[in-house]
Amino acid sequence: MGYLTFFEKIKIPTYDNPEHMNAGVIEIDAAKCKQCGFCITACAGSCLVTDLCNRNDLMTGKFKGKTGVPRVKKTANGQVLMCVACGVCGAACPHGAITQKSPFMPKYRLKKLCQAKEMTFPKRY
Amino acid sequence: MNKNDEGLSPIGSWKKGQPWNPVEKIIMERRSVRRFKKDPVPPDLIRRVLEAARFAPSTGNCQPWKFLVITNPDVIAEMEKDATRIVKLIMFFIGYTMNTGIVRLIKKFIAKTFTMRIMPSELAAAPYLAMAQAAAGESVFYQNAPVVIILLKDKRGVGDPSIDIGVVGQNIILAAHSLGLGACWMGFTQLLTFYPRKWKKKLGLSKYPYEFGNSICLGYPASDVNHEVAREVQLVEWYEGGMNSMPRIDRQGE
Repeated sequence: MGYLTFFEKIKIPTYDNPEHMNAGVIEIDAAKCKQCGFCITACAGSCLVTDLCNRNDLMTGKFKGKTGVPRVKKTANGQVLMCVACGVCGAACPHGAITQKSPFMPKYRLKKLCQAKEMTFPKRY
Repeated sequence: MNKNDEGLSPIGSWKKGQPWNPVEKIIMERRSVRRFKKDPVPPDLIRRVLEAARFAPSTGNCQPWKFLVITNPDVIAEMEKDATRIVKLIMFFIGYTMNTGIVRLIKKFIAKTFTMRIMPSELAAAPYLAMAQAAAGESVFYQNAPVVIILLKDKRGVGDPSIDIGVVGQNIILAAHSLGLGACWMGFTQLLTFYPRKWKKKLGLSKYPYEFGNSICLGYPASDVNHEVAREVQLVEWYEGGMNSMPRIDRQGE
């Protein structure tokens, strides 16, 4: 249970409005992709899908074989990607086909979660 | 993850720009594992992981936790089924991203006027969209993991016992990864506390003095996901000057 201030209550972000969300953007290189499905099973929000299967099909073993090149699923109104840019798909890909382009930058009361736009790999100070 | 320790720094010393030492390597390369092999985990290995939990720091050494280890596949499958049932019920009323038109407007009104004001953190964007995917039948909660460890929180703990649950969970996860297992936080087990009686009675999820803290899926990873990823740069304030000077903003990570 949390507590919202008055201004937070009137400005709760709408999760399928692109102006409130700024979802994470990843780029999948179709030439490098070997369609193994590792990224689909690694995705925390199950938002990577292909035309042939989704995450549930792979986890329960309903679908076997080449999955097809994945894409990020959008909400039902087709305006917002569901990606929160956690980076697990890029780490799981054995062929390096997935790169992150932009972090997850929601607005309003979730805005404080992100301070800077740039993303870097761990640095050995 | 590399099985050999070549190219790693020794523990207990630092010089500028040195490679990771084994502890840093586990921390930097740890990713949540969401695909497990079916092989059962030997009980002694689970005990070894839990030993790291037993020696976690806690506020005032109050150790406000209790661990439940679930290794029976039938029980985990039943938990999966009931969590999905609950999430379908919740998303029937508030899952507006799954619909269009008038249904979306009604659900959005219910969500934004009532539920998101009562449970703003539980219904933040990331868990909300993950629950929407689970309700649509495109996801599984427990990832077919062979072991689920539930962390119960002692309400009488000193200070904020939720923090101690986080600390003990991090110990479990880092120990598990260093022993060749994979682990993933699974806070969605909280859905089972909304199920009338059944799970509260069986697992004691809200029996005094305990309440549900969090849970962790454990098992042998089926694919290698442990690599470094890019993360957002943090703006750190360094107070180096005197009382009258402004802090220096340091871009951590660039």
